[in-house]
Amino acid sequence: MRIQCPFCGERDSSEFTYLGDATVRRPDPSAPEQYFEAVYLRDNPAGRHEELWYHGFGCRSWLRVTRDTRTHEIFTVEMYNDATTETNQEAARA
Amino acid sequence: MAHSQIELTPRAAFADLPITAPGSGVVVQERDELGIASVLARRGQHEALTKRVRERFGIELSPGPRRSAAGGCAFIATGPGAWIVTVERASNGCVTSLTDALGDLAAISDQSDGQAVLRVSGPKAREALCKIVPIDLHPRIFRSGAVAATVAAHVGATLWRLDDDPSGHAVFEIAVFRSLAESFWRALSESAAEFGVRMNGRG
Ligand SMILES: [Zn+2]
Repeated sequence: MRIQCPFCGERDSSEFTYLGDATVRRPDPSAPEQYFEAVYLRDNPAGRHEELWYHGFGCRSWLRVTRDTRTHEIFTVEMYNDATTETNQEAARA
Repeated sequence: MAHSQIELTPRAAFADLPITAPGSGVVVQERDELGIASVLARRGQHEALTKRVRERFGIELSPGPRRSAAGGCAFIATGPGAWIVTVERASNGCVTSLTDALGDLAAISDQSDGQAVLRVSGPKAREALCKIVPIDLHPRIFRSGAVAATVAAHVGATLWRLDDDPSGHAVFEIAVFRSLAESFWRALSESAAEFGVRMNGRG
């Protein structure tokens, strides 16, 4: 499997570390049930999945990758910081 | 108490490493007189830094993993807003001048003794390197000025390509953390053994 890093270009998956679901947000630590759910109760979808990858043996960026878990087809890769900044800006505008 | 102080002398990272297969297919040269620093743009200062580097160093920082150089100074892009800067024959002294020029826009730290840089050239340099890095080094893909922050035989490495030598052979430089120089050398010299290896004087 290869990932098209927005900075480095196409790179082998061995340069990356997988972190998991990119849609999970850190909940309020004072709500233990929500916290438990966010940390331990993860979905395991067959198909399109938005996930975090770290390009540790490369540009050291966090990436948000949309991948099909059945075929490893990759649809989009973006810098996670840019993506979250946009999301935060959208949230701030709403 | 000066007489009890330990005499410290510089020691090049690759100096004592063995050449097991002498020959002339791959020529290596340790770049131990390079001054090396890491430069990280402060948050939101990437554009201002690009402008300052143009003014002070006459260097145009192109986007993406590229090496941009002028007057003995090179900015080697390793990530978004991150560079390794090398300065010819400067050793640790380059950090002060970089900090004076860019310190308000970037975080700068000395890597002159932290990174070891090896120049790899000769007719078989590409063949020797391509066995140990997961990078497409084809001359049309990895052109002069290209940079790759990558991994070389499990050792984190930054590889870049310079202009070809006068005989038209590709010239590469590769930076690894100094403490991993021996592991890296073992991998490279194994890979280059079938072509033969020669070590040039320092510079
Ligand atoms: Zn990358």
